[in-house]
Amino acid sequence: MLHFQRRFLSTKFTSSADVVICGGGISGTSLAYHLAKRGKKVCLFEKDAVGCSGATGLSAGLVSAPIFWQDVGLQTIAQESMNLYSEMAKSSKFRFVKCGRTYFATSMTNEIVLRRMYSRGIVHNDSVELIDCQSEMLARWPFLQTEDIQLALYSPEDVALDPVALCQHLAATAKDYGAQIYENSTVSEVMLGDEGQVYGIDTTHGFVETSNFVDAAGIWSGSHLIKSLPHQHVQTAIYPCTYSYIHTSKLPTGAVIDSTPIFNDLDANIMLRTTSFKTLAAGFAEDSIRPLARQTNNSTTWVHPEPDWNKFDPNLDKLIHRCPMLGNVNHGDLICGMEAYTPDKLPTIGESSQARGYYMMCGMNGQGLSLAGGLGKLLSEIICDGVAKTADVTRVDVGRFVDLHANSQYLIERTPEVAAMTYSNLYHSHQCHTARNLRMAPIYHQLKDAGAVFGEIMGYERPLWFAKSAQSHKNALMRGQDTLIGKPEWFDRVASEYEACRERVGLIDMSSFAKYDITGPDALKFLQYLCSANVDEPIGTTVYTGMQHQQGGYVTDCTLSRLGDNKFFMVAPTIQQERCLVWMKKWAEKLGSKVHVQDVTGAYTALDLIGPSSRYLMQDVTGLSMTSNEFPTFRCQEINIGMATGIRAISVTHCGELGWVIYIPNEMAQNVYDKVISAGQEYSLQHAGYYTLRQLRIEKFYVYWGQDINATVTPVECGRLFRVDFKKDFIGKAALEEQLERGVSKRFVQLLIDNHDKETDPWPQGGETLYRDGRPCGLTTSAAYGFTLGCQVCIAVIENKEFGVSAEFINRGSYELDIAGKRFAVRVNLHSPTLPMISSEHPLHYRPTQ
Amino acid sequence: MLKRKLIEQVRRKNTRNSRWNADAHLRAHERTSNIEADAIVRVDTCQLAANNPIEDFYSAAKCLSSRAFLFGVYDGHGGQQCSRYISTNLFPYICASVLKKHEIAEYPSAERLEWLFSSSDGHLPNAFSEKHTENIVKYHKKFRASQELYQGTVREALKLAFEQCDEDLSRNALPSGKGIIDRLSAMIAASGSCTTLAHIRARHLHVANLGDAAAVLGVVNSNGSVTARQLSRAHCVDNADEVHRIRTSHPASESQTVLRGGRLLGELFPLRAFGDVRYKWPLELQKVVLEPFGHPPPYHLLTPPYLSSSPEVFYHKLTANDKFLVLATDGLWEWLDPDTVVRLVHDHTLGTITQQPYVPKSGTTLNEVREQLRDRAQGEKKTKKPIDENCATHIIRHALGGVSGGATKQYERLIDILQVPPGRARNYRDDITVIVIHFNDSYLKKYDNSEE
Repeated sequence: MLHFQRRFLSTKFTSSADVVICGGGISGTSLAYHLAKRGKKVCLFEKDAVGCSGATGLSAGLVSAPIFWQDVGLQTIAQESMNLYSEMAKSSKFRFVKCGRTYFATSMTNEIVLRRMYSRGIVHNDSVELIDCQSEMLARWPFLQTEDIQLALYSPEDVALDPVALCQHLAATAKDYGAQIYENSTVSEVMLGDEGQVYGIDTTHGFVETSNFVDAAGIWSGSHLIKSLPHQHVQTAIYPCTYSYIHTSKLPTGAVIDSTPIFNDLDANIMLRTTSFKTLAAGFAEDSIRPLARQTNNSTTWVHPEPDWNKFDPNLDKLIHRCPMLGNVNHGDLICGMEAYTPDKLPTIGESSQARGYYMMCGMNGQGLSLAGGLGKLLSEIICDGVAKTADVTRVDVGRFVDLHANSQYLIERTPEVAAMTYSNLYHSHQCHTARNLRMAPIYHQLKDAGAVFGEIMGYERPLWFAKSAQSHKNALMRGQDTLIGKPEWFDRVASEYEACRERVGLIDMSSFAKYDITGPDALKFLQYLCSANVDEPIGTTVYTGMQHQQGGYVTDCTLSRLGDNKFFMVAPTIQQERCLVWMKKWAEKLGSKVHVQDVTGAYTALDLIGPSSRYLMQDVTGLSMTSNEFPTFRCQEINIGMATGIRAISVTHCGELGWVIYIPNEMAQNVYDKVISAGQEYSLQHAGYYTLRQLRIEKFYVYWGQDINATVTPVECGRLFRVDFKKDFIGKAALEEQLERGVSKRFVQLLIDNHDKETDPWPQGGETLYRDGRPCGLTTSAAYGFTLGCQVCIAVIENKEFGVSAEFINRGSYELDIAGKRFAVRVNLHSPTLPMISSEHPLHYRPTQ
Repeated sequence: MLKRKLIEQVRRKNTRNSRWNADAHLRAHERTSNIEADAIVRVDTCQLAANNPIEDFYSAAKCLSSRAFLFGVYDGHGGQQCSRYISTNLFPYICASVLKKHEIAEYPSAERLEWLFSSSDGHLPNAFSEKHTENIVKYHKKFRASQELYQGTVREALKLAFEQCDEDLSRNALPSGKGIIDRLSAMIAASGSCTTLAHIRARHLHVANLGDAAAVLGVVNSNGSVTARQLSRAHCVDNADEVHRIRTSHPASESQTVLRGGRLLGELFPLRAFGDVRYKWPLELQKVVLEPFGHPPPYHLLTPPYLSSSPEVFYHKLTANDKFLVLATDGLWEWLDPDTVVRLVHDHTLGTITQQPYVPKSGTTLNEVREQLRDRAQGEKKTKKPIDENCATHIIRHALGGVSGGATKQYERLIDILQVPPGRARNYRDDITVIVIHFNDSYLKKYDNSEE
């Protein structure tokens, strides 16, 4: 009663809103703008003044042009930001200078990075320039030392703006659309209803009733009190780290003007911004970055961490090396800022799985200005329509994290490395060297002894390839081993692994794949509604299916094995571990289904036995007949191997070869592994890694979720209609039917690159532009070397919004692929080519993408 | 077993306590003074007594009319009175002898001195100080009147100031018109004091030395190596020039007696000093003034004065390589040689900078910041972090504890030597006084090429 009274008295007002946003930095104001524009009733609470506190207020106001990002989704997001800001600049008079940015490369790798950036740039119609003449660089920027620069790239679209004024203008515009902005007002509690749904927000201004709360509080994200959660706040995978820059007087030269570009030296990892009245010199050496204490209370004020000159020292050296004149200016101020970082250097948006209606928009990794404008749009789409249309959110979605990512100790180890990469582009194969060896299969050490070189995915150590001898160092793989140019170190080893899988038998550890047990009286009915394929097949059948969202795109793809009438075993891509679970639980609740979904990823060790001899090997270790009649492909069965029981064998190898994946309960994994290895000797069994899987599947034109397809791609577009059963009702059916009627403008193709010298040419990575008759027509999504085809193979998506992408249209053109500025003639396959199978047994299910 | 554990525990506790005691003992009289003006950044001083009361003194002051800094160490013998007197009364003479070309501001001769610090109290009995002021004014008038002096050199001015100071000191001890002898003045005149004085005006360093204290300049070459540069010569029997000077200024008949057993008249070790009128005054005067106070004249006092109070002056123009100057009484030099001292100071500077976060001084450029950070990084590499923040304490610790061996060994020796109480300790060591003057790189660098 007393409590109630106090609440009543302290309440200054009570109101309601569609969405309440906490945080008036660039994230919060951008989102408020987008939501208000769409007619939502928005309340924004900022504990200080809009734009002034937090990382936004301290930022240098530099916005990177979209060409910086390798990822297409991020490019779109950055482009949206840029569009928004320039529109804002038109209607207000804040500082907005299109000063451009110059990137320098002194190493071969970064030279290729710049050439790739240039390739992206010319598609965006930027007047991007590549400069490879040192004296020209010196003539343009006489205050720099250019002797050791191999290549410079000038990106004219980069912008320097006033971040505070931008935020204030965004907030003011949002206000015009009806949003309410409260400054000096803290969110003191987020209240959850009985079903974990946000129903109201308590603030120092009073209580607001709302069912949507957006946490855009920067480094304070996740610190809002939620009494009904076990930790009293939402667990987030963001962590504050320092970043430092020197703020000093202008360079003593007349050559610096306001439109002098921002300089980024990629190899030295430094940035220099010089104007006619000041100089900012930043450096991102990993040693110079300190993780801070996690904010646990959102009412703490912003306190600058103590600047540490000693730690900045390595940067200073490189800065003065690049710009010798900088050494003669006064020491100025070393400014130490705080910013929220995530484990993978990508921002986080989307609904938290811990509280319904609790959205995140945080973890900008020092690129808040460049991304927040577009992310605001995406999140507004998610909040209003349930799904983002502008760009694929897979890589920025909060669902990409599992619990371990939110662990403070994990983040303390990881985030400084991430912060050090603020201005480096992360490729798909990038491997961090911190926070490793967290999740490991029981056979980790056996694999390591066998020479495994590991790569981390979702905290899990997955063998990428096997070196000739055991790797002694702790993190067997420090950096992504996919070279941007020239033959990678693993090439010959993977060739031999590949050969084993194609002609004998290979063993791949696939334990990282997400695994679920789905049980309950409604399991079948529930899965029939969620999956687009018919899963009502006899017990012992495995079905490859997609799960679609309402717009028909892939939430995920997976294999469903029916173990009982209402018992299914689901295997999904590794990165889907959290997202799938949340999706299924959300729908189970929505449908009121009596179904239980259990994440059993960590309970099983998965061994993929691939190759023609796998049949005999399986027969040897199980004592069962494994003929194509007894155990055809796309079947599952619980089997024993030696003394071990409860092993789930599924005859799907995820790469189009004959074979089985055996899911062994962890406690028996070592026993079974030893047994398989010793039995395999007779068939010259060889360990293989994830890279081999990649080369195997790409030749067969298997598209992978997260690399080729994602939530913006439908089965119609990626040629998987044959996996969709229109006879039943499922999520997204209407959208797919409509799309079938209307026709699609996207199509996946397989590219075979001719005349590519694997020793000296840049290697495709995905994200390269495909030219049809000289005009850009699509992008590659993933790439690998085809050992049987004897050339580089890519999967690409071709888009033609005007006339569609009929087979005829595709076959008519002549195609070139631009890899790091070099054009290669490519052959385009609509279907997988017939692979010569020397001794391989053709699996019966094999059916390449149409 | 238990007993052994207990003993072990007690022992460990004792060790800790005695270490703490040793540290406290060493640091009792340390002082750090941040000057931050012109060429000087900071001055570290420390003192350790062996006599009771201590006979060493030090003082530092600034001459307002020439903006010169004065630092002195005074090593007394035969009592503390003389060195104590000199520590407070020498500087006014030097201030009164500012050359015409160096006069920046016009100050009356009595108000020219700004004390920075001193180990003596600085107060003199009233009657005494009146007389002193009178002396100074008189001297100042004389100095300015002489064209030769007033427009001469710092070297000459310093010499004159020393000599005049000593002259006035001994005159004070003479019987007044009424035939009364001031007891205190007589004691001052009877005891003696060696003195090393550094006179630093802008980047001009003069070291005036009288006796066996010494000044050593620490020079760090651009390649990082450290060398010691001695800016004084000890005036004792080891110094051949001094021996020659003394022998030639007295009749050959005295050659057997003037220096005996390495000592002046077989008694006094330093060959130049303030006070010590027993070796300066004629026998008759001593009989009147000193004998009543129990100071018999020395034997073989045939042709006084035997003892000079004219200092030897060295000049050095400071460069950016000159990092610090160490002034210390002979108590230190009998334990450590100049090279070791300089190395100790250098290591200490590198070592201590890593103990506090680096903050660039205003006006430093980023190039300088980078250099300083590099120096720090070097200090960081040396795993041995100094125990003392004060550089002078650091030197004394190593003088008594030894430079070799680990911290434990060093503490063992220190505890041993420090447990002898002052007074009795004189049998094992002398009073030690150390002043370390740290120079300002960027100041010196800035004027490295300029003439003035």
